Amino acid sequence: MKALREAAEKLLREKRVSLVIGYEDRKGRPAFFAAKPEDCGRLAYDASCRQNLAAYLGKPEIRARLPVAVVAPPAVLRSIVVLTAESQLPPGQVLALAVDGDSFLGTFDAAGVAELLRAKYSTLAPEPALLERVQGLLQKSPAERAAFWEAEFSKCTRCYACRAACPGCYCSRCIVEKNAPQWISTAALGHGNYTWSVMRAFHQSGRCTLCGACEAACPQGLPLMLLNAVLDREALEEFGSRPGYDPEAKPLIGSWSADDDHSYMR
Amino acid sequence: MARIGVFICHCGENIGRTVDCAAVSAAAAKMPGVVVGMDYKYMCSDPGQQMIRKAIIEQKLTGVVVGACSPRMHERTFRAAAAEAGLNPYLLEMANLREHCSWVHSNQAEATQKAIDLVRVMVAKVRRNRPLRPIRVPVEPTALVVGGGIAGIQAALDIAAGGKKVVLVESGPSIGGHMARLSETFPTLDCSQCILTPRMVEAASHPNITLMTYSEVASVEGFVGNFTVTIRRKARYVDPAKCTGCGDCFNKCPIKKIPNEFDAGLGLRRAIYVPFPQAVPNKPVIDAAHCTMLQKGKCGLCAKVCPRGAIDYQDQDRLEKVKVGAVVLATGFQLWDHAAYGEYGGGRLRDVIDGFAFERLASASGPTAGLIKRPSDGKEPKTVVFLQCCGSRDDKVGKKYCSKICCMYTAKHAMLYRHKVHDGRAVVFYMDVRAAGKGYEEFVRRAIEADGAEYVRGRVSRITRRRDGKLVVLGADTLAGRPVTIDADLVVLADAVVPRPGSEKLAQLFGVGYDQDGFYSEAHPKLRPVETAAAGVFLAGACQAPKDIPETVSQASAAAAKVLGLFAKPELEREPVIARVNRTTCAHCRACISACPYGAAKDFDIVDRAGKVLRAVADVNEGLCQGCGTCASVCRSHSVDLDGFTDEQIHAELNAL
Amino acid sequence: MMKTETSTAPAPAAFEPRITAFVCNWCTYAGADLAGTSRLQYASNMRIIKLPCTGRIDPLFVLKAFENGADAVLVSGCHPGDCHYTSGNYHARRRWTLFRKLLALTGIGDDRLFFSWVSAAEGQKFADLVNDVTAKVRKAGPFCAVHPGRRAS
Repeated sequence: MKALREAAEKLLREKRVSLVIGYEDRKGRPAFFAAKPEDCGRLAYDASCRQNLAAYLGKPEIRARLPVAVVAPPAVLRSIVVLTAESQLPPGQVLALAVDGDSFLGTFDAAGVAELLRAKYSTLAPEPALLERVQGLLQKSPAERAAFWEAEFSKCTRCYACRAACPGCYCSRCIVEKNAPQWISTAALGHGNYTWSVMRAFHQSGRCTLCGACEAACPQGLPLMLLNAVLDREALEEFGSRPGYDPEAKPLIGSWSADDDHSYMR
Repeated sequence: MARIGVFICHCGENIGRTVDCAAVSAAAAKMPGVVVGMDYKYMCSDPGQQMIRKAIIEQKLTGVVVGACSPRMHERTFRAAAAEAGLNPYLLEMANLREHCSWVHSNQAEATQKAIDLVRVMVAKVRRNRPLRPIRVPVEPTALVVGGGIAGIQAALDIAAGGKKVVLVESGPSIGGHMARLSETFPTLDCSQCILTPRMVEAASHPNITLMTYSEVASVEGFVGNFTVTIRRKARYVDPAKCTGCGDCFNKCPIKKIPNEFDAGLGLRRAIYVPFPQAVPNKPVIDAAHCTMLQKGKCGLCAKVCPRGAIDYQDQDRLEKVKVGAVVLATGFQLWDHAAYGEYGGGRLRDVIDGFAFERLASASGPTAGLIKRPSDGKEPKTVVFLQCCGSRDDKVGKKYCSKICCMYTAKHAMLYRHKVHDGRAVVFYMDVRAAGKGYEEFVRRAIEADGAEYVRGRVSRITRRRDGKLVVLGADTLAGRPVTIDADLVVLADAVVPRPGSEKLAQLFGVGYDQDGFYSEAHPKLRPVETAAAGVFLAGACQAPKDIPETVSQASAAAAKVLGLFAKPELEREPVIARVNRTTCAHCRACISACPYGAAKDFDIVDRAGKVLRAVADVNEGLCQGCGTCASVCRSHSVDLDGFTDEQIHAELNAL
Repeated sequence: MMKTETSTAPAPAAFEPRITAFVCNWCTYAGADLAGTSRLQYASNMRIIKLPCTGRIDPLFVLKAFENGADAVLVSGCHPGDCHYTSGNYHARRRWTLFRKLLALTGIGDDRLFFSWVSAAEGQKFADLVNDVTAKVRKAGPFCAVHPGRRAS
C-alpha cells in the first residue's frame, strides 16, 4: 500500500501525470481521483476492488486531462492493452500502477504493461466456478434457459451501470441511443432488456477481460458474467483469442482466417 | 410524405397462375404510404413501363415497387424507366414474385400471402430509400503493365496501339521473359526469338510505352482510374543514357564463371552482363552480388574500359511514382523445383535437367549453339528420357493441377532431339497426353509417327546414376503391364508450372486474390476471366494459371481491350452502393479499417482551421469501396452505414415482416 | 392462465412457422433465383431479406427478426472462397460462430438459428434447405412464448 501511494505521489510531484485514478481507502473502495501529491495518502488497494478503472480512460473528462495514471490489477492491465489496440489511448499518455492482491508491482507504460502481462500473467483464466455456471445453464433445455433469462432480464431497469463500468464501452453514442432507427427498445421491458444485454455482451467479444466490473456494478444483480464468459470461452477455443495481451492485435470481430470453423454451416 | 406506387406484374401466366396479382395490388394499395396499386400482364413491356412512367409523373410518386421477376432480370429495365420519368432510379425497388414465389409454390393462398409480404417489405424499404447518384471518378488514361514477358509485351503493345500510354515494368534487366529462352515453339516449330524479338523492339521503341526494366512494384495507393504506383528502379550501376551497348565492359570483366540464369545455368556470364545477345534494352547491368568492385572495392575494370563513362558504382535503388488508371498483371511463371523428388536424384544429378535447360540446349543461340550436349561431360546423348507430369498432378509432393503446356513441349523436345540426333532414341513417359488445341494432336502424332519418339504410358519410379555415367531410369509401362528399365544419357523433367516467387506479395499490394497455389484469381472463372476482384486490375498470362503462348497472347489482348474500354471515357461511373461514416459518432476503434476487404476504410484526422488534429475517425474512400457493408456490421455504434442497404431500410424491412 | 394456454395450444400440424432469411445478393439470392427458374417446389414459410453480402448482416438484424415474431432465422451466403467481396463471408462466419453460442445460452438454439452456404449454382440445395429448415421449425414449434427476446403481443 505504501509503495503504491509513494509511486503515485512521485508521478504527480514530478508532473508526469495530472491525475492518478485509484481506489479510495474507505469502505467499498470507491474510485478516487488524486490530482495533488498530498491526495495520494488516500489511495488503497486490495482484492475487494471490483471496479475497472480503465473505464474512466474513455471518458472525455479524463481524456481532457491526459496524461494520467491508473491503479491496475491484472484485468485492468489487460483492458489498457485492449484500449491501446483499439487506438483509444494516445501513445505515452497513460501509465499503469500495477497491483496484484496486496502487492504493488511498479509503474508501467503501455509497452511495459504488455510485457508484464506476458511475463507474469500469461495464464490468466476465467474462474472455474463461472465456467461451471455457464455449463450448468447450457445443460438445461432451451425453454428453461429462456425462462431463466426472462426472470433475470425482467429485473433490468436499464440504468446502464453495466455500460458505464466497462472500459470497452467507450462509444460516444452507444447503439442503444441510436434512434434512427431504434434497434434496441429503451423501455425497461422484456425484449429491449434482452437485446440490450445480449448486444452489450456481444460487443465485447474478443475484447472482454472478464474483469467482472459490469456484473459488480449492476444494482439488480443480473448474472452478466455468464454472457461474457460463454463468448470468452468460444473466442478462445475457436480463434485462440486472448484479449488484452497484444497491443497490436487485430479486432477479433473484424478479422478472419480461412481456417475458421464452420462445421455448423449447412 | 411518401407517395409510393406499387406495380404488380402477372408475367403472362408465370406469376398470375399462382399469385392472385389483383389481390396483391389491392393489398398493396392499402399499405402505408402507397398511393397507387396496379397490376398488369407484362410490366416489362412498353405499355407496362409506360404505366409506371405515367404514374410517376401524374401521381408525383416518391418511390416505386415493382412486384415482378428477380431484380437480377429487370431491375435495370425498371430503374431506367423510372429515370426517364424523372424519378431517381435508386428510388425503385423490386419484389421478387416470380423466382422466389410463383415458380416455387403451388398453393395459391400461400403464394399470394407471401407475395403480399414481399411487397410490404419492399414498400417499407423504398420509403426509406434516398436518391443516389452514380459515383464518377476521373480516369488517368495510362496503364501499368507488370511483367515484360510475352503477356506483358502483348498487352502493352495493344494498349499503346489504342492510343493510350503504358508503363511496362520488368524485374529483370531485359524484357522477353521465358519466351525469349525457347528454341522453337509448338505446334509450328517457328523460332521463338524470330517471332518475339521484333515485338520486344517495338515495345521498347513505341512512343506510347515507357519501359522500366530492372524495376519492381514497391507500393500501390489509390483505386480504379487513379492508382499511384511506386516503382523501385533497382541500381543497374550502368547509366542507360550514356551506355551504347558496345559490350567492351562485359568482354573485359574478369569475373567470368557465373552461371547464366537465362541459360538455366548451362552457360556462363560475367558480373557485368546482358542476359542474352538480343536483350532489350541491350544495355548491361552489374550483378552486385558477384562484382568485386561493389563487394570489396577492387577491380573497376569496366569503368576503365567504358568509352562513355557510363559505369557508376555509386548507383542506388530509386523510387519512382507513376499515376495510372489501370493495371495489367503479367508476372508469369517459373518451373517447380524437382529437387523435392529424391527418387529423381533430388536435383543433384547434372544430367537430369528441366524443360528450360533443354530449350537452351536446343536453341541456336544457346550455350551449345544448338547442339544437344549433356551438362556433365558435353557428350551428345544417344538416349534421352523425357518425363511428363513432374510435380504436376501429384498433390502429395508436387501440385494437384495439370500444368497444361508440358505434353506439348515434351513432344516438341522429343521431335527437336530426333531432328538433331538422327541415331538417338527419345523415350517419353506420360500419364495422359493432353493435346487439345489447334494442330496440337497432329503435332504429337507427328512426334510419334514421323519422328519416332517412343511414348511409354507410365511413371518413372527412380533415376540413378551408374558408374559409367549412364542414368538408369526405372519405370513402368502400364499399358503393357511390365516394368521398364532404360539406360539413358540425359533425362528431361517436365516440371510443373508454378507462379513466380513474390507473386503473392504483389497480389496483396494490388488487392488481388490468389488460389492455394499462388495463381491469381480472376473475378469470375467463366464470365470475367481477365478481371480481378480489384477493380481496374486485369490479368494476362501464366500468373493466372498455366498457359501456352497463344492463350497467353489472347488473354493479354483481352486485358488490353478491358483497359482500353476503361479508358474510353474520361470518367468512370460506379454503382453508388458505398459505405459512409458518421464522423460525429465514430469512436475510431478501427474495427472497420481492419475488416474492409478493399482497404477503403482508412484513418481520417479531423482538423481545425489551423490544421491541428482534433480527433481521429474512420473514413471510407469512395473509389475503393465496393459496397459489401462488412464495415457497417462490425461497427458497434452503427456509425458506418451502407447506401442502398442502410440501417433504416433494413430496420423498416424487418418491421414489415 | 397456464391451463388455458395448454388446452388451446394448436395441434403441431396447424403451426406454420415464420422464417426470416438474410441472404447475400451474389450467391444465395441467385441460388434462390435458380431454384425458381428450375421450378423446384418448396415450403412458402420463408421471407428473404436481401443484402449485398453476409458481411453486412449485423447480429441485431437477427434479434430484430426474432423480436418481431420470426420462429426461426436463416443466414446464408457464398461458400468460403466464393465471396463476391472476397472476404465478407469470412467475417460473417467468425461473427456467427460467436453469436450463435451466445444465443444458445439464452435459449435460442440450433432449431431456431440456421446458417448455410448456398452458391448461385445450388438451386436444389436452396430448395432442400428451405424445406429442411421449415420442417425442423415446425417440429420445434412456435418460438417460445416466454422468451425474453420476443416483443410482447
